[in-house]
Order: sequence, then C-alpha cells, then structure tokens
Amino acid sequence: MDELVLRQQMYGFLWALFAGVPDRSLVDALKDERMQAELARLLAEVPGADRALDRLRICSADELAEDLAVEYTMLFSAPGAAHVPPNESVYRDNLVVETPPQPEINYAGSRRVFAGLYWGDSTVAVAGEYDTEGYEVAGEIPDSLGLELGFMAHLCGRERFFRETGNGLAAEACAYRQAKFLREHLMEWVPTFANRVREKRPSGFYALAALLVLRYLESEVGAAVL
Amino acid sequence: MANLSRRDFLGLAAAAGALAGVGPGLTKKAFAKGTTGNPSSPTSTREGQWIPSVCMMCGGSTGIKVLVSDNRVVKIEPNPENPIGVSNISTDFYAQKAKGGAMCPKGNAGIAQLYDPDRVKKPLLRVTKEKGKDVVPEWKEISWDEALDLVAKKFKTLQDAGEEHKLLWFTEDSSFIHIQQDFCNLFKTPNFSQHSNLCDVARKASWIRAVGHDRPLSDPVQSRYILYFGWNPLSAVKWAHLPSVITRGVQNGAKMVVVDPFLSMTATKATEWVPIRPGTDGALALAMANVIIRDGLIDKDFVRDWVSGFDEFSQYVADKTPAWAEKETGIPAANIERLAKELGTTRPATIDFWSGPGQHSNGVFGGWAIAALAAITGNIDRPGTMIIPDKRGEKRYVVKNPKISQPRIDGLGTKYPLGHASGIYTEIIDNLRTGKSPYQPRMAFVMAQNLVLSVPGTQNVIDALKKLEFMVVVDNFMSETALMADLVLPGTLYLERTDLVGNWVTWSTMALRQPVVKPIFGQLTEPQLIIELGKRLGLKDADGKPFFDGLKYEEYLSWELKNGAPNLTIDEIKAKGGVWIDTVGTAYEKFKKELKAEQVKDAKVDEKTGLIYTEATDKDGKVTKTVLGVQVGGKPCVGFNTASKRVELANADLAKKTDANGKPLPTTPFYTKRDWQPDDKFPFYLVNWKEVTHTHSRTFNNPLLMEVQGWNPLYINTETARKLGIQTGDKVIVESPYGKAEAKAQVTGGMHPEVVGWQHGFGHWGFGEVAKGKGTADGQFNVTKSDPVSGMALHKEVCVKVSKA
Repeated sequence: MDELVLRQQMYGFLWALFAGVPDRSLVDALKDERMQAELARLLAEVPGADRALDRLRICSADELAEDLAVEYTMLFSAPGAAHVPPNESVYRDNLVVETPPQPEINYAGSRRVFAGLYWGDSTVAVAGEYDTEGYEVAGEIPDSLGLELGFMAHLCGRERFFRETGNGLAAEACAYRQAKFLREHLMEWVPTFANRVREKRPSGFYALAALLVLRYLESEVGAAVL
Repeated sequence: MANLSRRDFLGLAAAAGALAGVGPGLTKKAFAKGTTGNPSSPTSTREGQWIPSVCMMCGGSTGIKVLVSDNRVVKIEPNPENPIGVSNISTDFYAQKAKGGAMCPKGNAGIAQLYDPDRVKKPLLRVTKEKGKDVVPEWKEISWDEALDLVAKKFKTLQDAGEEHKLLWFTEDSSFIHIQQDFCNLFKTPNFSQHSNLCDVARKASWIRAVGHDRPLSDPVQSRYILYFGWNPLSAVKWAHLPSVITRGVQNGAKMVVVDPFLSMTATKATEWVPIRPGTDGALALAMANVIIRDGLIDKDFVRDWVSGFDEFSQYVADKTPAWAEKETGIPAANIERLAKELGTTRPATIDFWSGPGQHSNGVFGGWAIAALAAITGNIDRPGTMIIPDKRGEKRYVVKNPKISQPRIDGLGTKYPLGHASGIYTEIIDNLRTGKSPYQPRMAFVMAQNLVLSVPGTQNVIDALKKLEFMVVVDNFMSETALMADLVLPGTLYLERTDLVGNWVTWSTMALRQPVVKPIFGQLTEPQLIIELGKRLGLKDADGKPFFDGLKYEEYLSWELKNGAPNLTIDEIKAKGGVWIDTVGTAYEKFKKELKAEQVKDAKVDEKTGLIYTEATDKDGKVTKTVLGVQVGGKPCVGFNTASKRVELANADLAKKTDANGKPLPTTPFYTKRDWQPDDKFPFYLVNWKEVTHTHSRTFNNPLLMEVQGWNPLYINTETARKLGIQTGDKVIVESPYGKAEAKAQVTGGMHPEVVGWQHGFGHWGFGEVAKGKGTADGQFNVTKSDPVSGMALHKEVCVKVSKA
C-alpha cells in the first residue's frame, strides 16, 4: 500500500511538471533542498543537467517561476521553431486522405498519409480510457502528457481505494489498466517526445523533466507487479 | 544512471508527497468537471453525427456537413441544402441540389486546420522587447483572466486619457462583425476597419457607381456569353458553386472569354484567352463600347429607359477606338473589334471583373467602364447577366451608440471620396508609420488579420506596428503580425464557434455556422472574448446602460435573426437544418417593379428626369425632397438604387469631389494609365493572384493544401525567359525599388511577355513549421499605397526587374 501511495505521489508530481506553466506550489517544491538532491541523484550524470539543476538552486523562487514559465511556454505552448507539442497523437497518428478511383476520367485514386496532428486515433482511445475510469477533463486535448500522467495518478488512487475497501478484484483490474495504459500509450510516445525536448532545449529544465518522466515510466514497465 | 528501478524513485516520490500542494492533492485540475462536444441538430448515423454548418476556410462560406465521432471531426462534406456550393440562382439551385453540392480543397482540408499542432493554444504574453522581422520573440503563457485584465488595463489608460480614438481595430469581414463594431462604437474609437479594403473595394466602388449595388453577381449558367476581366473563379473560388455554374454555362453553349495577363485556370477552360497588359482593362472596355455604340449594337430599349448619361459616355468613348486601345492594352485592334461585335450581338451576356482590374491606381473608373459594357448591352438584372442580389438577412442588433467626436485616421469618405466602410488599411498603416495623421494611434486590436503579409509594403507595415505601445492579436496561428504583438490570444476556427452567415447568392438565404466541437484548447470564442473585455471596461450605451453585462452571443444572434427577414430564432434555424431560404427565389428586372398607388399618391414627377419624388417642408421652411422611383414607359418604377434611379454612365456630381491626390473625379467611366509603369530599371509588371489551394495568407501551414500547392514559383513568359537566360526551376532574383528576394522560375507560354506573376500568400517566416520558408512573399516589393479613389490596396501595381540568381 505504501508503494501505491508513493507511485500516486510520483505520478502526481510528474503531472504537476507537465500540467501547464508551473504554479507557485511547484516552484516552491523545486526550490526544496530535498527535492533538488533527489533530482540531482537521479539525473546528475545527464549532460547539461548540472546547469539546469543549478538554476533551481541559484534562482530565487520568483526568478525561477518566470524562467520556467517562459521555457514551458516556448516548448509546449507557443508555436514556433522550439515547439514540442506534448500530445500523444502528434507522435503516433496519421490522417489518411483517400480519394477513390474514377475510371471515367482515368484517375487511379490516391491514398495520402499525414502525420503530426492533434486528435488522432490515440486521442480518441485515451479519451475512451478516461471515460471508463471516470477521469474527467475539460478545455484540453485529452492526450496531453500532463493529463496522461494525471490519469496514472488517478488510477493509482482508485487502486488504493479499492484495496483499502477490500475490493481486490477491482484493484487488480485497476492495476492491469495502469500497465495497459503505460504500455499502449505513454511508452509509445514519451521516448520520442523526451528526445525532441532535449534536441530543442538541451540545457533546459524541461529536457530533464521529460527525461525524468521517461525514466520513471521505464522503471514502471520494469517493475514486476506490472 | 539509466535503467533505474522504481525503487530509485522512492526518495523523489516521498519528497514530492511531503511538499504541500504537489502531488495527488493538486490533481484537482486534472479531475475538474467538464464535457466535450455538444453539437446541435445533428443527424446521428453509425459513423457518428452529421452536423450542418458553414465553412470558413475562406470567406465564401460554403454549406457543409461535418461528421463528428467521439468528439472528433472525421469528415467534412458539402451540404446541398445550402445554396453556397450548389448555385447562385434559385431555380438552378432547386434543380441541382439533388446532385449534391461542391466544396473546394480548402474545405476538404479543414480537419488539418482544426488539428494543426502549430495552432495558438493559450494567451501568450510577449517577453522579448525588440520587434522586427529578424526577432524571434519569447513568450509566456498566461491565463485568460490575466490576459483580459491586461487588455482592459491597457485600454483603460486610453479611456482615462480621453484617447479612445487612438485604438485601431482590424478584423476580417465574415465573422462576428456586429459585436466588434458595437465594442468599437461603445469604446468610442472610430477606427474600426475590415479586410474588404485589401480585397474588392475598387470593384464595389465601380459597380455602385453604375448600378447602385456594390456586389452584383454573375449568372453564367443562364448566359450565352461570359466575359470576365481579371477574374479566375474556376480556381480563385470565391463561392464553391462558381466552377459548376460556369462550366455548365459553357456546356450549355456559352462562349467564355477571359481577359487576364496570365493563363489562369479559368482562362484554360475559356473559349478564348485574351492576354492583356495589367491595369489596362478599362481601355479595352471603352474600346469595346466604342465599337458597340458605333455599330448600333447597344440594347436600345434598355439604354433609352434605364441608362442615364449615355450621351456623355458615348461622347467620351468616341475616340477610344480599338486602334487606341491596342496601344494601351497590347491587344490587336482587330481582336477588340471582333470581341465587341460578339458581345454586342450575343444576349444574354454576363460581364464581370474582380481584383485583376481593381488593384491598380486606375481601378475604379476602369471598372466602371467594364460595368458600362453591361449597361449599354442591357445585360443587367436579367437572366444570364449581372444580377443585383435581393439580399435580405438579419437585422442589425440595435445599440444606442455614444457620439464619437474624433475622425478616423484614414481619410475614409474625405481623402478617398468613394471609399468603402471597411476603411483604408494602407492609409492607416502609413499614417501610423510616418505620424502624418492628425493624431498618433497608440494601441491596436487585430482580429484574424495578418497585416504584415497582407498589406502592401511589408517593411512599412513592420515599421508601423513597431510604433504601437500595445498590440493584441487574436489568431489561430503565430502569423507574422502575431509575432509583432504584445499579447497573442488564441482564436477559434469555424468548427468551434457560432455565427450567422448571409449567403452571397442572388436571392435571400442565410445559414448558421455552429460549433461541431467545443474549442479544442478550451479557449474563449471571439465574441465571448469581446463581451468579457467590454464588461471589464464597463462599456455603456448612450443611455448609460452597461451593454455587455449579461450579454450572451447566441441571444444576440437570435435577436438579429428573429427580427430580420428569416424571422427565426437560433433554435428554430437549427431545427431547419441550419439554413433559411426565402421562398421568393431569384427575381429579375427588379428595377421595373412598380411603386404602389399609395406610395405615389402625393408624389410629383420631374419631367426632365422622370424622377418620382415627394417634398416635405419643415417648420423653418426647408424643403426636403425624397426620391421614390422613376417614371418609365408611363409606369412608376422603383428603378435602380442610384441618384437617377437608372444605371449611370455619367454623374456630374463626381466633378465636385477630388481624389486622394487632389484631382477632380471624372464624371464618366474613364481610362488613364495607372501611375506606376515599367521602365528601363524595372521593366516588368508584377501581378499576383489567388488559387483554390489557399486563402489569403492563412492556410499555408495546412499540410494537405501545401501538398497540393506548396510553393509559388514566379511565372515568366517563355520568350522573356529565353532573353533573360532563365529556365524553369532556376533561382531568380526579383527586385523592385522597395524589396529584393529570391524566387523560383516557372517558364510558361501562358503569361504576357511584359508581365511576371505568382500566387499570393507564400513566403512566411512565422505562422507554422509547415508554412515557414516556402515560396516568396509578394508584398515586400510594393509600397504601402491605395488607389486614390476607393482606397483599394494596390497589390498589383508593382514593377520589378528579374535576373537569374
């Protein structure tokens, strides 16, 4: 049960990193020495990490809030050369445009595939998972990284609830759904996404944050229980 | 330290959990209640729900049906119940609609526009102070409340200083216009301007001179002779039904003649392409009129009864012979003779023109000359001619506006005597840049307008926008104008919002644009944003009543619809499939409609002019004359909406007005050379155009459309290219006195030898990763200038030199 609490907390933290421009509570969390030490322990060997981690330490909370807000915006919010859309469908789905043959004008038809758009099949699948599990979202495309991580936290919370209320079957089903969602969704695109963030802003905080997410997801996949 | 185990994260998880506010407790946001998708009047199928709506990939507003499945748009098809996309003539619409409607590639590509990852998602506050083409600005996402508070705070400084007039407002002209006008009126800025000024106001000024209506519509499907000047409706599809009505007209036996420097798509399908020097269409029209009048090919009855100023016009064109016109236009005199005789002997004929002749400094009076061809041949408001639309629609929402004491800064109605209400963009931008206007604007609100790429003189526009102390841009993409903004607000696409659309066909119909999905980033719709801003600023009407408090946009639209010709609420039009069609279809010869006896019982008739009028004397003895119609053939008719109630080929009152250069206006259709002529240094005319693949400068990040047309090569005549040593695919340098840039050559026999040209809208350095760096922007070669009469932006009055790179 403790492990479940920690997993829920971990997903909650990762959600907070990618839920939007960091709010004050997240900035304060990042300014916490214990947090900084843990991040350094997990990520210090990553090239450029020292600069990003120093930033957390050296900047005042106000400076850090401003810096992270701009970095978050330039990477995940404002379109432009540095933009890395934090949405699953952009990395996974295709829009297929098919034109049927028209023999009367000697046209053989065509099939064109366009990648990289919002609201692809995986978005619909993710939204379906949310519906099933009572995870409600509004005003955002369902397959954003923040929402997907929040969903994992949500599932951990539900599993905890079922275990605490003695509903073992439901808890097992919930654990299974976590594993399924992790493999079928998050792990299908976060590796590419994390690389893309690193390419765009190698010494930024969010390159580390994305890597942190990836490493945690990998650890989850590797865990026997899943 | 890769390959971490879950155990390795325990410390971090514990640290996160130990901190107040971070972790599961914070997931309140993620667990927030909400719904997605709430379409109205859908038709459910196994595939999903088909929802009728209206396209807005361009302003043509084609009727569409949108298939929504799992809250996602999966298909868009034409809606044959909406005339836009079927036909502009009612009888033809009813005959054709069972065969289905039409939609252009842009409409088909709407899904990729909606789900484009380069869309602006959240309000973005500028961080970088510097502005300019080479500046890549940094932004900070802020909340909607913060954004609206900021705009209100800035605009409040104008209110506090009594400088509300120093707010400039720019918007496109097809959506939520009235509520924007209300905002500007109540804020008390006179400087509300719309896109039309960059499009067709010269044509509007020409036609309104002639027939008293600024947008008569061509009826090719019933025509026997189709004569188009500088218009490419088979590709630059203003309305999706145009290719159908034109090609069916030709299939029915009409001859189609296209006058254009470029062998456009329409010209390739024409019976005859007439290559012409840019800006000389008026000369061709006058010479054709010369022949038609000389050979007695006019419609004598129509001219006698319904044309005013024919004698003055005849006198003016007496020396505008084909030989004279050959020197101006480059078209052999014999061809002009033949075309004139064909036109004079073939009825009905539809004679129209759009931006080709209009976007030159001589555009308005040249356009009037083209309209005169329709007048002398009786080809007005009859089947197969130019139909004056009976366009009744919504009633304008009634607001008691406070008085605005300051004038506009663009000389609308004063400096530009035949200017259109949409304003004079070039004058605004140039005044902003140079500080020449009576007052210097301080702020701007730009709604879905990419001024930097759309107003001629790109660098001037950039320099002008730098002068503003605060600029808000609402857009779907980070346009080059958004890149100059202090605050960018995400717009909605047509699939995400509600609006009313008055259809541009020849009889009265309206359609409802309705959201088929909720705004996908949770953004406010533009009307909501205006209402919220109006509330924050406490805008009041003339009676001191807060206007925006409690206002709901759907109720506002519903009032307009219910009190207008449709007499329906929004819910009622939804129940009718989102389209209202007047049972009175296309009417012809409306000018002959007789006035009712009670209307004329106290009226007098002017014996000389035939005008029917009443007189009223006020308490000071001042007599006011109200013209009701005109007496023709002994019958009191409503006539045309002109001063003479006839089609006008002369108007003496014009001589009292001067153009922007201080010259008195001619009193008849008139030809003079355009101001900017080729010379030894810049020997080629440079023209631009639009194609079906793109709209303005705003569809260039759409991967589907960019696959169809992903570059704008510079078209050069084969012989001209040979002399310059240029072959297709070569890089060339295009240079004018105002700009120099590289382009890719496309050598063709389908271009006038003195002209080079390309498709407008390319050459983005912002906008999106698909659009960026594709093709050449055309506005950079131009100066920020309008025609001196209507204020039409001079997109096509440019001369350049071209050399191999």
